[in-house]
Amino acid sequence: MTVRFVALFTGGLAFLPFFSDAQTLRSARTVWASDVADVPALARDVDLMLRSGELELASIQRDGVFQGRTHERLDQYHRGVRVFGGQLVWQKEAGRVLSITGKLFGDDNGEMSVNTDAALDANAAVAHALAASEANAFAVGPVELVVLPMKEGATLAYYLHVRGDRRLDAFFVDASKGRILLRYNDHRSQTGMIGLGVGTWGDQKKMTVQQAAGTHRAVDTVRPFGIRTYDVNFDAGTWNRYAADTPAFLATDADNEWRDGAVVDAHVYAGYTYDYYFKQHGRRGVDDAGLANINFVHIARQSAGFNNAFYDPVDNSLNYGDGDGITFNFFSSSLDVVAHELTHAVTQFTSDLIYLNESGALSEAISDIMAVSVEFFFEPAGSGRQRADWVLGEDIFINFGPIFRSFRDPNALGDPDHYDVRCAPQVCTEDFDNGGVHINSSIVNHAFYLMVEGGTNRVSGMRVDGVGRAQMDRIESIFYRAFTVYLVPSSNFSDAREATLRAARELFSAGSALEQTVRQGWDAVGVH
Amino acid sequence: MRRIASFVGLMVLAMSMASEAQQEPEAETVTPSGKTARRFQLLVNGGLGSGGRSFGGVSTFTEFLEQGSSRRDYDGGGGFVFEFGGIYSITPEIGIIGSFELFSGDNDAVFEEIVPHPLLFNHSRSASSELTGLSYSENALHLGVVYSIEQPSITVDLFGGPSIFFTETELVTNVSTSSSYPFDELALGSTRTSKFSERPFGFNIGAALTYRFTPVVGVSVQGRFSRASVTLEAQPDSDPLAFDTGGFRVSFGLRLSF
Repeated sequence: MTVRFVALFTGGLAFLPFFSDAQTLRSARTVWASDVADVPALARDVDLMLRSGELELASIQRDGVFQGRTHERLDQYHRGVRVFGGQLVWQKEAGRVLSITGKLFGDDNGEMSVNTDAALDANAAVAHALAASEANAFAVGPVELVVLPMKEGATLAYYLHVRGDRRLDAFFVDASKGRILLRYNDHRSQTGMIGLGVGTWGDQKKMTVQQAAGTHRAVDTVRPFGIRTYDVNFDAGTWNRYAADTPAFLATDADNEWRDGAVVDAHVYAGYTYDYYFKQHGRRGVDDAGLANINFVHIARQSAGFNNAFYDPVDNSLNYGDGDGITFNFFSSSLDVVAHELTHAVTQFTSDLIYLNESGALSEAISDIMAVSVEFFFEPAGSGRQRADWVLGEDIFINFGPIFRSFRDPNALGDPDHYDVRCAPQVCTEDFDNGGVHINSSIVNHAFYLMVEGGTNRVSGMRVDGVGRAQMDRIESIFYRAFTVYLVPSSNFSDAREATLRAARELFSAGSALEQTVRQGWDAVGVH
Repeated sequence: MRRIASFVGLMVLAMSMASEAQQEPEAETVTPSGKTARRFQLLVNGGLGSGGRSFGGVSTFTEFLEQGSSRRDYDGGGGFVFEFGGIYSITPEIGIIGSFELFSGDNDAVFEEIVPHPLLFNHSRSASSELTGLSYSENALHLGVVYSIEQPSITVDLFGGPSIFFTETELVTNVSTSSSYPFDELALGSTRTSKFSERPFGFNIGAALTYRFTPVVGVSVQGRFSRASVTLEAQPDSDPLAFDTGGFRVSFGLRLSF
């Protein structure tokens, strides 16, 4: 039995000789093409096979990269019976065939000779499969008569599934004698794709991984979005050219017990943030269309003191420094830091706030707001490591205590808590924190805090009746809608106020208590 | 098949003994009251059996790095009882009794699946449902010694002895579940049941009151308590399911004396 493969590309794509010994697709009709000019002839042969019933259209996929292209999958048939695994894919554009790839099965002459009259009926085949299964197993799904290409030759077989105790076996039962020709566990569940992860701070998490070539890779195939975490292994040069986004750099673990905290936390916390956005706001990934997330860790050794994490809008990647090992630990070790960076990606796909001056501060603010929201969604409230609180970045400090920003009392860190005390353009120039994006964001953060928890602003003395922690999700929804729907790249604080008020009216009706709370919050921090 | 053979054998034995009793009048015994007693009685009873079978168990499994569980609880209902048999009197007071009892009822099942969350520790999801009308049959061969108290037209029989039960219990053996992102909810899919047979040994004890219209024909009311323990290995990784079969059953029937 020879497996014949054709790979033929035209239209500027590369020619890929997958099997050097494959000379023909069908010796009588098809010529192996080593030149793009042969594609039309091959396409004619495929067309003939379609007409003769040797191929049948199974599905049509739209090309996700090249608009207008389609990929038609053609299943191989032998005397009306599907040949298991035999399929061609032809890529088309405007009716023109660009490439044909796939595998067809036949003997050395490219022919197939299998008697397609089954001596056994389907029920008998099921009985044979069940007899070879555990006591409580039972057949599920359709029973299909197929031609099964095996090394020793093609055989007519029944293809069916048997569900046992948390397994699903695919069976191929010889259609003449009832022998089990092939059996494998066809359970494509998440069972094998969950690993044990130990985070930076020793906590255990579930890693969504992918089995590959005797190891496990940090590729999330459980969530519909896809999260990939790469271990740059301090190859900053490769990383800087984005060349680290290749399978060779995917973080791996042989025994599926992941103990690299930087990898574990980056991977798991990105998943948590995706989950938060989906559960709380119905958002499907950062672009709301399932775009995969990329994490890079171990970019530089701790001795290099890379004390930062950032979102790269060019390749949509989250990049985490290892810290300096003295003050800072891995920058992926804090859920709020990961959620903050990932929210920058959401902002890029929505308002795309310009990362400068007030619009930049709004970008930082919504990242901070979503960061604490994700913390309150996944972590128990309280003070201490890995607790949901109103401060940011507390978990990346080796000695717990310092923080990056405070929602409750920004002034304690020297950050403004009122618009009148903002870092003015004269001080916060474009060259100084991009116009104070990490400084003036505290004004918006504090407004959000007051809307939730309530309290009195230090500068204005105005009191806000917060909605309370139990209704925090409502304020989150208002900010999420305002920032993802109404703001534009050049929006300022005043625009944010109007956007949130509008969102409050939309979500909870005009004149609602929530609208009043939002108004009070902005008034208290002096944003009008 | 063996059950039928046992029953047929018993009937053949009963008929041959009845035949012998008819052919050999000298074998008849004289009761204290002076009446001639018949040595063999054929009994046919019918009635309602009580339920009361409550049993269940939990099996555990590991999925997504945590332990999940499958719980099954069953509650049995009553059903119809039918009994054939005979009494052979060795003396006017003492005899041996043998009968075959057929009982069929049903069980209701409540099942619950608890499956760990694929993404989070300590966030297991659960789903439960119930299934009614699972078949349950319980046939038994009762043997024993009978002590008879004869009065004109009325006989009181007290009996007891060993029993062998033939049970067939339909159990829920597989419940498929599914969930989709974000995996916070668990949905129940198909449910699979299987029948499990057991032959436990036990005992029976009871009493019957018979009123004879003629020396040959009478009617009776019978109360019997029987008991045996059934153990079923229905699910892997779980303790066996155990319940008591039998119970107290009242039946009414016909007595033919030969």
